[in-house]
Amino acid sequence: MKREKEMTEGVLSRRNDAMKVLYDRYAASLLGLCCRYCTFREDAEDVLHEGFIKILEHLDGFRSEHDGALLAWMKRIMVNTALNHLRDRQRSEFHAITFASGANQEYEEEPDLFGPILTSISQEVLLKMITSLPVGYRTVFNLYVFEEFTHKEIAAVLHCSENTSKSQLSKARALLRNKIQRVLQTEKAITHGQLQTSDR
Amino acid sequence: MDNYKHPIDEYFREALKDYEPVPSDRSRDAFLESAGRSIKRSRIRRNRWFLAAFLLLAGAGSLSTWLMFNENHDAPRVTVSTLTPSPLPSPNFTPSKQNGKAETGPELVITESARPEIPTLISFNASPASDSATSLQTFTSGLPEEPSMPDHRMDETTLPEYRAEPSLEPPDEAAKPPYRVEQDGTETERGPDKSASILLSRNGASVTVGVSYTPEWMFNTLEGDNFAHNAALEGTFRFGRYSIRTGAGVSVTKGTHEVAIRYNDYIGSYKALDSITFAWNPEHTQLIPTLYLTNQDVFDSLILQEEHAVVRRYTYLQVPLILGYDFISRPRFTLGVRTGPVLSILLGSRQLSANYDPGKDKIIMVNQITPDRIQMNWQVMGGINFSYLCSRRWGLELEPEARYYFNSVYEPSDITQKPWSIGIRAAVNFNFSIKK
Repeated sequence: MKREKEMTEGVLSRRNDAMKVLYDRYAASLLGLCCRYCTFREDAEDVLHEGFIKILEHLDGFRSEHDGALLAWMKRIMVNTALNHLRDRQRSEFHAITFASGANQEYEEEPDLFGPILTSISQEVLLKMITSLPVGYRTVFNLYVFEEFTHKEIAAVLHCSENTSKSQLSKARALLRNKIQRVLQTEKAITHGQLQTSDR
Repeated sequence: MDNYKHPIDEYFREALKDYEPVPSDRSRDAFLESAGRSIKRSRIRRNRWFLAAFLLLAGAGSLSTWLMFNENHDAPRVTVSTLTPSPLPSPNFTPSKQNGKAETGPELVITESARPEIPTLISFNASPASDSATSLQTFTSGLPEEPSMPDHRMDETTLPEYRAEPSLEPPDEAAKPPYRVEQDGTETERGPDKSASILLSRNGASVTVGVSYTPEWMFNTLEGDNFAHNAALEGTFRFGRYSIRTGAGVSVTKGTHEVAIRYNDYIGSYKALDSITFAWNPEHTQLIPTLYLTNQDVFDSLILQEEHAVVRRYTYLQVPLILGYDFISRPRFTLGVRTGPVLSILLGSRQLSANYDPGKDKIIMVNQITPDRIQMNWQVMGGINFSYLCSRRWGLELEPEARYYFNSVYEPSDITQKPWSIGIRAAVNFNFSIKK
């Protein structure tokens, strides 16, 4: 925490070396966050750049209370920056879900049919799965899973209903599950084909 | 967050929790460049507040000093005139104080005159008295017709010119630090300081304009120590470490002008009989006199002298021509010397204190003690200039200085007492052009 505080004070003093340290230490983690929200790497770096500028501008209002508080605070800013970026680029990112019987119908969680994943998939592939989702699904999924927002908080941030948030999340999970299954099937097919090839 | 942990959620969360892609160099460089500009903007923003605070303090300090030293007495412009009595009474009468016992004449009914200026009767000593004649002689000799008294409000030609300051030297625009245009990759904490975009090259030229304020304390004057306020609008041309500064300014100071007043002390007054008229009463049994009296002042024959000082405010126009050289030159600040001549021209003066009030005394003569002030004088100044560049355009200066007057500030040339002064000049400059 002491080092974090010293670095913060250095940034507040507008020292270039402190800013370099800040960027080098947290840019990678924050870029990973941005990559989950943006479709393309270039967009993610733009969001990262914009978010860091906002961090510099508002750092004087930050009070470090414990270790990791700075990163959490920076992530919050980066999430907001990413959401603003998405809003600017895509107006209709959420697919309204209309239920057949009334709007206040409680959305039921679908049963867990997925089961444990035995095969590890690379981070790039998983990230690709997420970025290939529709913007609305992707955003809700990121906010719920990684930022640990509640549906109520997501609804407030994205200006939609809680049911919409839940349905978006469910659809995102369904799509991701399908993608994972396809990847697993592909890997299995490749593995089986290799064995068959080796047998010959 | 909901308590239910979906396996997909858990899987993605665990798989990507340490996903930290390395940003590209382009992205990193872009951020550091933007951060530098952000530093510059915030520093400029912060310096603007500092500049505003400095100006506010300087203005408040000047105003308070002005009010503290501005002793406006609101002197009424009263012209002193000699009290001229009416025609002298007959030598046979001895003037006496009022309310003397009246001596009645034979069968005279003395009544008050109808003239308003003779409200009461006074007693007369009918017998001629030599001492009264002597006193009357004194009156006669001591009461000129109405000597033309000079106006006690000493005009500018009579009052000594006390030139307290004229240190309205333009601030050293040339003292603005010549910033080195450095393009080396090393950046200090104040990276923008070395940026070529805001710094002057040592070999470059620039023109700056600024305003300055200099409180000045003068010594070795006829009126003793004196204090002056100097304010100026100045322009500086810089070329490298050298600079030339000029401009126009106003210098305001106060001085006292002493005069020696000779007068006769007022003793008292009496009512002199001008004429008497007689008229019969209706029964034609009595003659009723009517006395016409006038008030006569009596002054001591001894001539007294009193010194009186009048405070005046003098306003000068100052035109300096200051040459400078910076022997220490850094991106943000410079330190150098300044020297050069200053021309002061008297614009006007205004009396602040009240005129001499003689009361009932009679003024005989007014002699000037303090000489008048000259209209123009020259000085030479020397100082150490320290300047600080707050931003690309704005800078501050502080310059303790000393001045020596080539000639006295007073009219007569035989006055060898030449004043000298010290002061501290504070200036705010704006950089108009930067040429490399």
